Amino acid sequence: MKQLEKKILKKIYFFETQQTFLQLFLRILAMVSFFLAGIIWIYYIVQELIYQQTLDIFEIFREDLMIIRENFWEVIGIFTEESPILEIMLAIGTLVISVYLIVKFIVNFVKIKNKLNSLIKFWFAR
Amino acid sequence: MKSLSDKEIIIKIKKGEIDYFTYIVKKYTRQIYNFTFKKIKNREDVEDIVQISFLQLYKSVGRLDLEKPVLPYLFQIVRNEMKMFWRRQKATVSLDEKIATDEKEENLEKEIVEKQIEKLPKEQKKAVKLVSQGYSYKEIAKFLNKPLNTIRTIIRRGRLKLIKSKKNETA
Repeated sequence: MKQLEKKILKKIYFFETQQTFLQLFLRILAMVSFFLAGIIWIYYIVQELIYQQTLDIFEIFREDLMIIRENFWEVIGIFTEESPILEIMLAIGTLVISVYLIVKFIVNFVKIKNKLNSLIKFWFAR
Repeated sequence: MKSLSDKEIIIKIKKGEIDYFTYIVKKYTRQIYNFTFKKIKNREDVEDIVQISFLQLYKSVGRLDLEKPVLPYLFQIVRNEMKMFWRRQKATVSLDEKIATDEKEENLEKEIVEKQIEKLPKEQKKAVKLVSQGYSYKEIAKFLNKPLNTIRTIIRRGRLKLIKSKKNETA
């Protein structure tokens, strides 16, 4: 019976090892991919805005408060008109997904840590 | 070894402390093995079924209802695995008529027995059903809150009634 118990546990730990490492790999890959995609989109947007010289309109903020107050909404209007909306949406989307994945990973971290501890104990501490 | 209830063990496993599954394995392996061995006489096949059943139980730990005991669920998994095993066995043997009629007869007999069990008095029905699910007399006594000897008597009477009604039916 002891032998059978050992066989059962070995099978379960083998399955769990595969699952844990596969999930860990996929989660980290997804987090990194979405985060990098978000960064790339932001870089692209900034480059685009520099190229269009759209950012120059913000130089108005160096002026007096009165002038800023008078032209604030106009500046914002111009900025939204000239900015690449689709790319900004994509950047926000990817960043939101990456933040969601990171938060989920942090929430589940204790569970993953416990699993890894158990696996290490089983495979190495015997 | 600190004794933990199934509920506590399942909670721990759900939290990722998978080494607690060892408790479940140690607690139920013998029972499951004996139950399977009664139906399948080949030791290797029995061991395979027991291993797969525990693996299936482990895979479904996340879905387990904490308020329900683990053992009946495990028995259900074993029953399903045995069905799969018999199905596989049949696939390897050429399908002749004898197997088909055997299966029909087996199903018919099972149905008759189930009907007869339903006809038993409430207490006997419960006890006999629990025995057929693989519970020990001790566990049944605990479930039904009755002394062990009373349970033995109830089950014996139930069995005798079943044998009698089976004889009547075949006559």
